[in-house]
Amino acid sequence: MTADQRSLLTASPADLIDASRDVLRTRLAAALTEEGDKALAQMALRALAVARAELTADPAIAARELAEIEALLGRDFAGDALAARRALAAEIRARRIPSDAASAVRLRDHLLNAAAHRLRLSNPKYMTRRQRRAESSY
Amino acid sequence: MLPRDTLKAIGDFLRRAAGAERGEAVAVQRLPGDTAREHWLLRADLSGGPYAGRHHLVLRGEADDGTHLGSAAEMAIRSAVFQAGVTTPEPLWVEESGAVIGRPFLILRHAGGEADPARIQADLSEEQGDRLAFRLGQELARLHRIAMDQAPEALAFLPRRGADWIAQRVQIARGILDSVAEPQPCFEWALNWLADHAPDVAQPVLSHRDFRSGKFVVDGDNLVGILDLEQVGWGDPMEDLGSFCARCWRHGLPAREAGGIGSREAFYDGYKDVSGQAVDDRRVRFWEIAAAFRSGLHALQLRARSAATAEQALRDLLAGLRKDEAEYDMLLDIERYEAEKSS
Repeated sequence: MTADQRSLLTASPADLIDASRDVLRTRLAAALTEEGDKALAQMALRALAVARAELTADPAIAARELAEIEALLGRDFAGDALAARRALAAEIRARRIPSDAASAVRLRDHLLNAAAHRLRLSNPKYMTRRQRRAESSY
Repeated sequence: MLPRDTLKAIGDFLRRAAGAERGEAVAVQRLPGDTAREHWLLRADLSGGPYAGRHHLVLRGEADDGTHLGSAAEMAIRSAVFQAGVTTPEPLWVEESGAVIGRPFLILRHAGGEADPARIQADLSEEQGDRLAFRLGQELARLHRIAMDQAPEALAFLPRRGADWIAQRVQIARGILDSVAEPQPCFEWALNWLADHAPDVAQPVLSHRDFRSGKFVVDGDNLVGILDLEQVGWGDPMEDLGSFCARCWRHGLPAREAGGIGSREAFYDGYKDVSGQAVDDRRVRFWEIAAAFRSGLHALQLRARSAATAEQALRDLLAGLRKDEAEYDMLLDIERYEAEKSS
């Protein structure tokens, strides 16, 4: 076993993705000649970048998102973020979220925080292109 | 390529439809860009009759997935739009029986040019972009001259816009949201907002309802034709303007607010030039938010669908990420819309 192989086996998922991206970008994509293939390689690189961002995202963010939903709905979801989002979606559809100004602001702030967080992972450039308000604590 | 027997049958159809003595068709190439139907570029040589000569035509096969307009209905729409003076490929003939190539089809004049938004943008200076945006505004105004209350009989099949159209759209959108696995609180919230703020439409007009870059072809900064009329229906004229100006359809050039092509002012001016009426900017802004919602909903559908190939799966997953952009756009644009109301 070479030193390189040993380092791969002990690598983090993010390290593995980084190594794969480097090989794809510097060796494989560089050797492509067809425009369609080059575009496809760029898409694969982007997908890996998004996966890496998701893997290395601060877990505290997901915990805060869950806490915000629990505060909005007044319920404990025992760490089940998917159930919390499902309940929130159902309450919004049924218009059972209180419509007073304070609740409306809290709900909108939550939605914006969550959207901004996901966009930072999937397309951070998009955010920088937009004129933003200082909206997110995430 | 099309089999020889099929080309012979197409040539015979063209001869009959054109009132020619002889007709011969050659398939030049299959045209890309529509996964639901076949498009073939044909070179047709006709002898005798009013269409004698060589023509470059497009054969547009009918989709067989049951979700698209039939060829006869599409012919009626295209004819009405063409006769209203809109620059769009001239619809020539329809074959409704399916006997010629195994499915119905339309024959259109071929409109050459570039449709790819990125390539169009790359070739346009700011001044050229404004000129094209002005022209596109004019074209929309010509389309919107066809009012629901004075519609030609040939368009009687189009569903009339009733008082319950908001409820219908909400129902459709919720059906799509229910079809994707993950709950979507932001889309639920935006859908409520859209339903609550949808404008009354006193005089519905014929609307493109999918008007954006990629839906027209140009040669340099000259418009060659408006494409893809299969989603046409009765609606608010400002919906088309909003769709075109929506941030999600600016293709990486957000400062060119009209479709990533030119300025909003030039686009509005073009519309006013033909319609004689000022554009209702606030109403356009509402429809921009609605366009973001639609694009996000479409992204969700792409992410959820089963792809036939690994390449398509990757394309769909990446396209699905645009749902995040749509959410962000909706939230910020709704905030701005409401701030402008209260200021």
